[in-house]
Amino acid sequence: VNLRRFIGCAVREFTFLARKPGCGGLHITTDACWGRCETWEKPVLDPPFIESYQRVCTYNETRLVSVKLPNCQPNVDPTYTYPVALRCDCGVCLTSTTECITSV
Amino acid sequence: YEGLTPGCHLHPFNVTIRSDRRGTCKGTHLVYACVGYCESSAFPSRYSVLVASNFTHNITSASRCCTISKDAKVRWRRCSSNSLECLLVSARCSCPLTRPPSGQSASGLPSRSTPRRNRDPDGEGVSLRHVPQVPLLTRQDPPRTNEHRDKNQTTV
Repeated sequence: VNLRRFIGCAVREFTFLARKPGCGGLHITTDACWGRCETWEKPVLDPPFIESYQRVCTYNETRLVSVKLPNCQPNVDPTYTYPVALRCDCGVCLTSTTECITSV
Repeated sequence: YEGLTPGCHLHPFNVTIRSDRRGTCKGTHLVYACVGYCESSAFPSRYSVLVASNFTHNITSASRCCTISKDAKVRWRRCSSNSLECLLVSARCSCPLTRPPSGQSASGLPSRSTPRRNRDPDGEGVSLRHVPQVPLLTRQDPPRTNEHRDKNQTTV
């Protein structure tokens, strides 16, 4: 697969640092989503004069995984839960379940 | 739309302009939209995001969208009143690529999983667990389920 030309949305490995107050950090490699989805803007005659279509590569199906963070203080729950991508798709970023960061 | 290539490009289309209510006096103008495929990614949210969202936003999506970065005016003359009208049209498109920084940064983006991959901004050599046969927006069949097993992790 030539990722420079890749169009679509796929499961891809990501590494992140899981941490929370009162515990040590833990590097976790997991499955997340990455790709290129169709987006467009076109001028229209009526306000707001721009029509847009925005789809992003995001989780379609997930499972939750829990790990225990190291070196937690006695009063801190060491459990850290995160989603693992089982399937990814181009779709609308749902603000009910997702922190949507879109920059232009 | 045929241009299945990454990036954000001008795309011509016709817009029909009616200059009276009955539409008897109308014209067609060729204008441009910005259409393309921009990078986006989604990954587990940082703990601060979880807390701020009352643990409802366990996914963070970082994306760029194909947008009009510069517009121009197209003028035409109303046939009923002979007055000049303007329509803003795309003159330049923009789709800057998403570049996840290395490590856990202030932006919350995770790094890719190996140093070699971090030096590879376009992701060459990075494995994809599931790659669709055709672009997803035209694909009808569901993607194959990806197997993920890690003995150190437990399913909740």
